[in-house]
Amino acid sequence: MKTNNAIFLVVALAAIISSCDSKQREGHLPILGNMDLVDRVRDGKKVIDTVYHTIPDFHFTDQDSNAVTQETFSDKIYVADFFFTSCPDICPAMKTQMLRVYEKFKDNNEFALLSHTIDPKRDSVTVLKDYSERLGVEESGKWFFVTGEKEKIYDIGLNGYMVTADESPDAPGGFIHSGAFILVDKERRIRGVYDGTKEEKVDLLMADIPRLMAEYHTPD
Amino acid sequence: MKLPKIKGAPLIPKPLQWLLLLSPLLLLCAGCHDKTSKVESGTENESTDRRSRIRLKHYLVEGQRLYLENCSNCHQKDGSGLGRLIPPLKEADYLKEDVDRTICIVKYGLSGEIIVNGKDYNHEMPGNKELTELEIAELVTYVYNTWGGMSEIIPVEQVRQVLKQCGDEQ
Repeated sequence: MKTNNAIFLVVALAAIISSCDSKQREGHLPILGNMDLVDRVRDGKKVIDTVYHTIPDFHFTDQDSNAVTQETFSDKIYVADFFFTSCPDICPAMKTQMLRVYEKFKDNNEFALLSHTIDPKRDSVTVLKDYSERLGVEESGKWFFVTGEKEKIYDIGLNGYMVTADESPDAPGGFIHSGAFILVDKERRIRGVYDGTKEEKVDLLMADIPRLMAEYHTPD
Repeated sequence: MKLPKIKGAPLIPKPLQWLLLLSPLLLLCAGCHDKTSKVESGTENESTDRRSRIRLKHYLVEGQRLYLENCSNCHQKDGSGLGRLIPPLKEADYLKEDVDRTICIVKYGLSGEIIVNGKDYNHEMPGNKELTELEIAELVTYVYNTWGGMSEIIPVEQVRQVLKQCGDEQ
């Protein structure tokens, strides 16, 4: 009898845990970042609108020397991260994980990836091209490896995607940066932040991408 | 708790039953034989064997821990590498060719182009200067026993001598 009770307890517990988990994985993803309430006039009436944090305009250059701006992602959801090609510690782990995301969603026209170098001095277009090809990214227009003005990259990291990216003589390779993957929707709002060095966190991201995609294809 | 009964078929097949019955006899004979011939050297060999097996196991456990801590981010947990950026260790000719070279690379890193299994790689690998000679011996033992077709220890003595040489070159 005792074993029966124990088994029942375990099953019940498992059911509770899994129900919590599935609840979390359903419905709309949260919209992250500070939001503002703004007074607006709509149809002659004064209304209060919620304004969410969005990624500001940007202008960078990718591995094929093409310009990459907010327009590039106007009808796409995308995942952004920050790295540098000579990074000795977490970047290979991040790129291993990003490659999984790329492989799974590369045929989806409403999806893209955006990797910013935080070492634009060394990571020229040529270096980025070589890096992306060695990684196995042959086609263009899906996974953008971008370089640009250093200040602009650091600024959009900090104020746009809300992650750390900076020079630091003490850090391995000379730069300190977050290993985060940031999921951005078509309205340039942040919908998820995931640790890009951990397989299980990237599994969550890969589950959240179709959920976000579904928001654009199912009527409310 | 009751053991489940299997109807029909006996638990142990007939020929095996005979063997089981005879086995104490066989053991006795073997024991006698040992006693009459080479008692001393036999047991000595056995215990050295056992000791080196335990030592190898210890190296492999520690080596795996060190590998996961220092190497797997780039070379991956299964040693498969990453595209044409990070070379594989698994079934890599470059690795099998030269143990001493590997020991030096682990400690002092590597830059410039290398060819592994016919493909070129050119991504700087940082050294692991903080690793001790023993740690490098354990780590390299793990790598070669897992992916290099080896089944023995790479001794600390070897690591010490090799590092002395390539340390001078650095």
